[in-house]
Amino acid sequence: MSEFVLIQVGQCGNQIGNALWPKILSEYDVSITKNSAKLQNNGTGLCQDSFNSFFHVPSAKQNNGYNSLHELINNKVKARAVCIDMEDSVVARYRTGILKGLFDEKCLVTNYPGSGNNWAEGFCEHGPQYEEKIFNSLRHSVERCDSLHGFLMMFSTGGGTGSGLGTYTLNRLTDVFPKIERFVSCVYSTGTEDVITSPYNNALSTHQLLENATCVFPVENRCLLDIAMRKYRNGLMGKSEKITQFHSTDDMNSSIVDMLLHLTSGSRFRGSLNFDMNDISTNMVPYPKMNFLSSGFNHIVNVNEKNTVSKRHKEELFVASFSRSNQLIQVDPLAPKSYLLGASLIGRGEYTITDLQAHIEKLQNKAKFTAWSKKSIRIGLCSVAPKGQKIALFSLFNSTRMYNLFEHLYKQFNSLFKKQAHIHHYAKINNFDMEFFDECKESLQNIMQKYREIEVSVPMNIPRLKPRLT
Amino acid sequence: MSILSLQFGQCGNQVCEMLYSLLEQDIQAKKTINQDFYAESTTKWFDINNKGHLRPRSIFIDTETKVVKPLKSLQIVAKAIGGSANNWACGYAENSRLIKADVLNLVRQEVEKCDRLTNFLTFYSLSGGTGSGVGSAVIEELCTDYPNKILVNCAILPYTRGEIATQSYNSLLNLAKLYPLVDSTILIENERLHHQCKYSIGLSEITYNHLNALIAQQISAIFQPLNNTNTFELIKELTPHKNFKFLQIRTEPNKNLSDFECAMPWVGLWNGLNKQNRFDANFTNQIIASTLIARGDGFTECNLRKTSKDFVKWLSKDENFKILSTNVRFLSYKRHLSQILNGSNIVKPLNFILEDAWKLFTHAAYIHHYKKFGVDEHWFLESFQVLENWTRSLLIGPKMRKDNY
Repeated sequence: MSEFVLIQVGQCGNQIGNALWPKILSEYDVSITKNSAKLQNNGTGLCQDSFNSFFHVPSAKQNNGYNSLHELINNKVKARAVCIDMEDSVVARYRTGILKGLFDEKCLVTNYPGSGNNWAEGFCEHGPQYEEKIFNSLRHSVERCDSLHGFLMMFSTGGGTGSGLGTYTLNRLTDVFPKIERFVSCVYSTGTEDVITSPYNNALSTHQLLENATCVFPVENRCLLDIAMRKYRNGLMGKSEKITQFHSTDDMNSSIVDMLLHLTSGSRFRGSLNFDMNDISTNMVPYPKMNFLSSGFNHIVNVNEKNTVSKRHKEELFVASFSRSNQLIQVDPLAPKSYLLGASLIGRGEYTITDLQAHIEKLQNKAKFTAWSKKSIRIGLCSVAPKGQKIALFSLFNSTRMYNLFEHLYKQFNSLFKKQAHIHHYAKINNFDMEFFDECKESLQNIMQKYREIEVSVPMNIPRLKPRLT
Repeated sequence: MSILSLQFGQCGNQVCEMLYSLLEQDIQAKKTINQDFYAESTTKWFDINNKGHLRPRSIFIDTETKVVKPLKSLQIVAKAIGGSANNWACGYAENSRLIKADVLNLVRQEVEKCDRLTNFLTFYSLSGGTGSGVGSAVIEELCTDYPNKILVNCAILPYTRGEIATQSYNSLLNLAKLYPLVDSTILIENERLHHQCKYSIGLSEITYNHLNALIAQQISAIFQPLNNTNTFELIKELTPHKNFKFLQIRTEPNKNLSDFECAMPWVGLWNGLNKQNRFDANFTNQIIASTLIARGDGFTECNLRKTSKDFVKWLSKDENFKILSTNVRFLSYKRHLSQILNGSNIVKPLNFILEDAWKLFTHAAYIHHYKKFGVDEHWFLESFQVLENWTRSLLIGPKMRKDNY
């Protein structure tokens, strides 16, 4: 079974983690409340196998089905996570909160002052300073893995700790564990920029992500907000549940959490057409540095329909996973100017190859492809559906419209940089070189250029060796 | 005469799981009726342990444990490497190094355990990383270690519409690597199987289980014992020329028939078999050699109306078209026909692969994944040439006359 080590950096990363772990536990049928009645065991056999992907179970206690968090902690089961923050407040929740005991004390790296929303402080100052501590805890987690599949990093790019220290860790991971894949899910604060220096932080960390990550699954705040609002409205319309308060961050994080669970589902659970995480990079990244993927799935589970599996429902899920409003980033895979470089469809639950073949045919008719990418579609089947749903469809795209994101980042960055605003905050940090800015500007320009070139790419003229008849 | 089968990757394992359960079902049904057949068939496919249980003589190989876990009492070489990332180069150059020694060791043990092991049968899909990549490396090794054993590959071609982005690269590299080495390759087309499931069996929701069941049926129909004829020798005879080594299998009937339909005479089955060529639409198939195997009651050769125009002229009729028959039924079918043929229509799926791969290659897409493991542009170009050589010879070759030389 593939195993993942989650690395949560900064406030945002840890908040996502906070929403993620309870969801993981519930997917494995582990209840969080202490003294609950025994859950009905439906399909737990399937799930327990893959319990190791996110948790380390001491070898003597293997093969036990766990029903409650209490049991887990008694058996010294630990989450495979490294939590890094330069502040204490968010990580402290793991020490005292509901999940107390699930995290190894060695894997929590904290400090007091914070990084002051400054990428340079995280990357150039805290990075080297905490490197040993971070990598000690990483090594501690890695050593407890039998078949480590990849690192899953979560951070926001707008702040200081997440973007600075996160990308620094990513950078070092490339050197220390060159063969382990590095998947990054990062939150871009586009649209709701709440920090004045965030354009700089965004651009600087994007440059690092392009260089070092295997695949990046970017998430934009404005999209999350839209999805959360829709969920909220949908909740109001349904008479069954009454939502009194709108917890924006919780709901926003839950979309990311769902995405991460879908993403890793293929690696964690069995399926008749296996889909591993490392397949993603082979299938979806046709050229180096084109590793930003957009992900879409149906966010709103209709209470009435979740128990039926019909052709119509599958069709709806298919349409939903492609619609612009369900993407976690402002990219419309079916837009007139969007050319797909690759797409992946993972059917979870009662999907058959016939369904997916039909979906592929539709997609090939609907979307635009480059001259060569028409068949660059990966399909996967995973037999375990998300908790509470019978079927689900998760899709990933590599679209040339990712250009929009980079363009946005570049414009924001340039508007500040032209005036040299806030530069002194960065310059005063030791080891910070002004070349960082130039490099990242160039890197953004390059990637934009590349995406534009691909849209009009022509085949290279390679002399084809003539067949010889013998 | 015994067979050792090796399965690579998820696809191979799924197929073989099906195959061995089907064989066991067939063998158990004949236990009381036909002792000779029972004995012959069990020694061919199974080991019998002290308790009298049948153990498939096969080795399951994969790089991802969660796929092979449900199978029990089998030899499994699976290391939790985390898959081969759908990358032939990763499987061939990287993962095979970790796994090859274990596999070869197990093969040696099996060979020593068995009295008369004559054949290797391998199963893998061409599209993935583990099956085609690790498969190529291990088969390459087997060819040098056991030059006297006949090795038959069963390679499964992916859907032409696409399952994996790099499927055409993987298929290309695998075929170019293995084709010169092995005696013959049975190519199984997913698309054709899908077509059969849909139209001749009449299923609407087709799962991989259906396809795998069909493959298992085809393979066992060919390789089940046949009046002491060695099927592998037979296959060797089907590949008379080094440029034509691809074989295909057709069977009829494919579904469990009701009693009424069971009355379908041999001629009807023969016509049904020929009808399956409709899948090729307008392609005129030139058959180099073919063998018909009839299992069931009352078969005589005069039942069949032979169409000789499809066969190549440079082989005599007896060599072109052989007919073998046995009274022993196949599964519960009263009459069952299977044909294994070496025809030029295999060019069609191969061309698909070539064209797709060339398109990707000229745009330099995905190349960097392969370069990481040492497979560079030159390697690709050579593979292209190797594969193109056959497709060309498959088109021209059957029509070849004496004066060509």
